[in-house]
Amino acid sequence: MKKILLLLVTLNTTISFGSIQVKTTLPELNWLATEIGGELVKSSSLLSGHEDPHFVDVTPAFIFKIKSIDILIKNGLALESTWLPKIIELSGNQKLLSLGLCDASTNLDTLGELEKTDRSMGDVHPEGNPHYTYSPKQMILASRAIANCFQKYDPSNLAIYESNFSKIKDQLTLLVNSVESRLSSFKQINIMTYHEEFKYFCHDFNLSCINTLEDTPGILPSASNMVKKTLFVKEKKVKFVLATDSNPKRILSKFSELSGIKYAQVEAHMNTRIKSYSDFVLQIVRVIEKHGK
Amino acid sequence: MKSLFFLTTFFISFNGFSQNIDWFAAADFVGVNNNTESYEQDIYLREFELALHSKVDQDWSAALSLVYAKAANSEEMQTELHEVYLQSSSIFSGDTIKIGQFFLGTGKLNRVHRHEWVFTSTPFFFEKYFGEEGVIDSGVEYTLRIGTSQNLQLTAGVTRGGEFVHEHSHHEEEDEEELSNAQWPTHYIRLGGFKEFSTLKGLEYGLNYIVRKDAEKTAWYYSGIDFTYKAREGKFLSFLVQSEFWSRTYKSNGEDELTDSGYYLFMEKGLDQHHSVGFGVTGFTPSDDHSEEEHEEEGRSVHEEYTSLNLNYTYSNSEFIKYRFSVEQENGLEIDGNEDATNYKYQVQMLFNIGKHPVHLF
Repeated sequence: MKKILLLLVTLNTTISFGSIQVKTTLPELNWLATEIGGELVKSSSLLSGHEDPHFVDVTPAFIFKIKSIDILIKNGLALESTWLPKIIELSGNQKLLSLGLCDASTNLDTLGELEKTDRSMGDVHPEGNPHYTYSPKQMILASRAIANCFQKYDPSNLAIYESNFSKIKDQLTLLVNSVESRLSSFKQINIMTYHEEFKYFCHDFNLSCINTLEDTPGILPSASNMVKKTLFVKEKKVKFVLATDSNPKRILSKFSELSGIKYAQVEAHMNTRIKSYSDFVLQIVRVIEKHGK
Repeated sequence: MKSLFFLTTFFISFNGFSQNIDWFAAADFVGVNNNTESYEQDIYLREFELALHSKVDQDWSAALSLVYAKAANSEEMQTELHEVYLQSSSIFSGDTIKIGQFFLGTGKLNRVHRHEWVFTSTPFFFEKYFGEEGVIDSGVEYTLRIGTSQNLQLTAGVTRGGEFVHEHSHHEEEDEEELSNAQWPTHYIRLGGFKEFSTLKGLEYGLNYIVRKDAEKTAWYYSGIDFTYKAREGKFLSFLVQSEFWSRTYKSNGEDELTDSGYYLFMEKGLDQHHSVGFGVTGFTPSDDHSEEEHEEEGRSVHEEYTSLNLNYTYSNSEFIKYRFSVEQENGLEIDGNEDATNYKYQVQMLFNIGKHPVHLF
């Protein structure tokens, strides 16, 4: 009996002092969670960074991945609204109905909020544009939200999370300063984006991202729309079209042929090729430096 | 039933939104032309589905779907309650229990409503075994999420054993008689797995077994396998392979045991978010009993091997509206005394939905 009791105590101790199991939807949020959680947290991302997070299939694999985790960190602003609620429901993980569900967008000053939406507007997000992870300024706010979640879930280690948050804030502030300095001479040029992914990035670094190639978000632009946009980019002297690798290359090439304006695609998320957040942000900076001259 | 349908519509219109009830409506129009004159020739609203789904309390969610449907060349529209059930995945910590009336959790097509199928026609064998939309019955179903590297799930269910092969031309009195005389409840099991190649590619598979004994004391045993492979590229499915193979054994009192079998295999290549092309093959091997009644479906008689080849093209205006065009060559039919005749079937389909459609598992 003593041995059994000892085993139970040992098991209980292991569980109590084990890492907090965390999953994030996006790799960028996983990077934040790992930095803020430090050794107290074991975090990984559900998505690899090669997907379009608006459109993800609900699979049994996702359900099992979150079935017994402690905290799930989501991007929020309805980016994962088509698939995440179903996975949470089917996982039956009660923690994710309360303290365990962390919305990293909580502290953001959102851009692009819409009072009323309907399907004719395409893939729009009434709560605001969800693509904030491109901007290190917004990631400081997201890291604050994640630190708050960890502190609420595990108040005994509040100071550690606070200290780690300060470190990541400093790191991101340095990155912001570096990006600001490198892009300061590109504020006068006009850039077109394919989708609204760079809204926060352009806003935070005072870049003139003046239009999108998409007419309706999430819908492939029609031929007539591309002709219209061709006239627009010529009139506004747009330097290039900034896009991500999840935007359709065929459409971008066709538009480039029509308008004579180059396009550049960057990785949409951190992934197996881009493992650090600073590299993820600096790839955008390099593209602007190259094509914005 | 019609009054229930209109009551629900009224309820949605005036009260649904304030109760946080999600709803959706889907319409499925089909135009069909066969080069065999006695087969279906029609342009019609095949199905209109109205569904509600919502959380009921902290543990349970509920779903209800009403269907207004019609068979080809029929003047009569049927209004039916397809599904009404409670479901919970929290009571048993990640296992799912479903109670009420629902499509049985077996195979692949049976778990997906027809307006979401990737082709227009119900495969010949499937219609014969499970009806044109799949089997609906009342009972209880439990899904045990086992886990392991194969993401195993074991689904088992017991239902009343009433109407099994669901059609839109039946009469309620016949159903009642069939239900009251059913010898065994329908019981079934599906062991399903999922292989994740990446978050963009996966293979779902399942082994299925269904047993029932009908009002005429015929015992039916169905065994089948299903698999679905999907590869996604951003917003659209770049490649899909979906297939089911089923075998059915049935035995009546004092008669020999008979076995028949059928399958379908469908592949679709997505070209972009608007265009996709598909190819399918289906087959049915009848039992040795050459009774015409046993091998007849939708006016088609089969004596030996039946096969069909299908080519289709789908244009998706958005994820909410689809137009599908298909050409099908059916072989092995009995037409005008010829027991190995061929029929060509041309179909056009328009599907759309409004509201918030519930999300399906893979």
